[in-house]
Amino acid sequence: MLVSVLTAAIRAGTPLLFATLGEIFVERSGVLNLGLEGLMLIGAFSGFVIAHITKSLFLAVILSMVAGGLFALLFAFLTVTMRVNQVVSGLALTMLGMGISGFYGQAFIGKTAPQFATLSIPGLSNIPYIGQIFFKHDILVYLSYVLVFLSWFFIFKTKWGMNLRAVGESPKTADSMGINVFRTRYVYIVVGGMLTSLGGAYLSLAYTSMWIDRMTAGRGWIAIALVIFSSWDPIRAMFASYLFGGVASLQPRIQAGGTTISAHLLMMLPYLLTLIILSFTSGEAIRKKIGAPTSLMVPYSREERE
Amino acid sequence: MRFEPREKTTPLFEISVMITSVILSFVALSILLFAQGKNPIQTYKTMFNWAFFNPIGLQGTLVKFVPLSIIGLGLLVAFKMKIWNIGGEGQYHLGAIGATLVALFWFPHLNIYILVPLIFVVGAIAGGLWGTIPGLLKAYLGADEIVATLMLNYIGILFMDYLVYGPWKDPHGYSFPMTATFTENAKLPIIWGKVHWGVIIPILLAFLVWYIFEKTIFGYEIKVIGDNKDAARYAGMNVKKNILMIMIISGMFAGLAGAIQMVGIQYRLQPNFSPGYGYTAIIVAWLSRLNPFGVVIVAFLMGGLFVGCEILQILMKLPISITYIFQGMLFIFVLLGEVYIKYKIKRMR
Repeated sequence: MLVSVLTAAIRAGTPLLFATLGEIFVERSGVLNLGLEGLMLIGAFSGFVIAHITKSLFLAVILSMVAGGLFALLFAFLTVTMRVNQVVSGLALTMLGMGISGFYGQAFIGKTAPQFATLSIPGLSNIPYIGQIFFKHDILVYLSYVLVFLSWFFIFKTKWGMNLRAVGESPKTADSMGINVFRTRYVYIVVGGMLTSLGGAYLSLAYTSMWIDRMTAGRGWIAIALVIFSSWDPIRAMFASYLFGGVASLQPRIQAGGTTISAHLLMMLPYLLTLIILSFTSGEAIRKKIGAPTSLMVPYSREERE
Repeated sequence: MRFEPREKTTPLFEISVMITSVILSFVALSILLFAQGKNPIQTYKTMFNWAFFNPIGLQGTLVKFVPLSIIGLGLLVAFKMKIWNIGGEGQYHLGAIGATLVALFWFPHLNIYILVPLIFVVGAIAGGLWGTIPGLLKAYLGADEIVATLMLNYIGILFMDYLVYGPWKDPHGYSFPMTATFTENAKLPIIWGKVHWGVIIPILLAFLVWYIFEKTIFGYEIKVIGDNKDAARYAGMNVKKNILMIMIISGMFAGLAGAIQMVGIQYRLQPNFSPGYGYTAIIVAWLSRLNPFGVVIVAFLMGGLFVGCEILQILMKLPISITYIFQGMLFIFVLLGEVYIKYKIKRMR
């Protein structure tokens, strides 16, 4: 029972993990992208359509990431170049993503596309419990493991990561150090968009084997919470995503088990937990300690201060 | 690109930029319609005529106008202080829950003239409570209100789900997840077709909001804090208290909207009764450029957009998702228009 719940937690947590990783990069550069829900939908939709047409999963994943990157580019243009308010730009992005995927996706409802199959890793998957939980998944799950560690290493151990964090901390200082703030933000908004889009593609190509209108069902918003939950750290993001995934995958089991606990009340737990964590980590001192990007949501311009 | 702040702009200039932005978004959408083999002008005409000049369409527009404008007015109050309450959706749901509590379980048989106002009050309190939580967290712990209100949206909606699937489920409802129908005493009288008396409330509230900001010290303080928090603090204003107040008021508006929706048109609590009004209201508040009367006008037009898209689905077989493309495009063009109003945009040499 526990093993199967944990296995399901990883599967359900993987789309969240991709999106959370993406948003960590974006927020680390000092930008809050609230458009994750729209980006994930673009990813889920474009991935499915390309897989349906070309029958190639590889192309589907690559092109859905390109689509997500381009969509995020629009957000970068609005918020970095035009300095439009980030909150409302993100909402506009979500509206557009919902609209475009729903509008063009209607023709693909009920269609089929190739799906990612489970690929047990020889050797590792034979380890009792651990193997079953971690190493009997599809290839995208393994990719997410690798990405978590790569992201962590990149953000905390490389010069690029240091520059990224500098831009999120104090763009002015970063600028005077010779870092191009605008380019940095552009790059990471697009990278974040690609990862988020991949999370969406995971949904339509591995998690559920079809395209359903609005199939992300709020996961993009959850990822925004997960970034806080994980305090902008890729490794903690992994645990946070699996926790949320686990609670979500518990729901049908509880209903089937006929217990008296309401599945809806149980579903509230991760949100409550995020709220509690948010409350306890928001003090100035703690924020500094966990490395929250201090210039989050502040648009940057060289000649004037807002 | 280089941005030079414009020293002075006239209202005429601002309005014409805004109108141009709206027109441009419609032009951009024409491309999409054209690609679908539809005549854009014909399509816009169909939408416009249905939403504003057909009795049934106009009734639909007015019905949608009520929650959009009331939630929008509440959000406007918060946005004035640069507090990003995006929890309108949750506060709206809580208001509906509060209304149902009174209408079904507390006093279903009370006289209508007492019951309906009571429902409004309880709905507003419930919504206000949902605003109090992020308000307290923001004011006293510094917690980001965006994430907090977002979480409370989910918690509120799940709470409603819990109620209608569980303890509040109508025993005679053939196991559908919904409550029993309200008594006649808990239904707002109808003015015209589907339109109920709640339709006048947004206009009254717009005057109230205008009054708060133009004539009271509280409103003045909110504007000052919104412009410069530190200056406000030096001037001796209690920023924390005002953050809390703002979030409560903002939540009360959305809660009231939920209550009105219950007694005006829904008459029962059931899942998915909101097509994301709490989120669309954010656009409404923003497009109004934080002007209370602007909210009323924009909410009416936005209601018309919803209804116009519904008719496109029926007559032209266009997916209903086109509503969101419209909203998103409109939003982006207006946001860009705002930049143009604030700055002269020049090429970097």
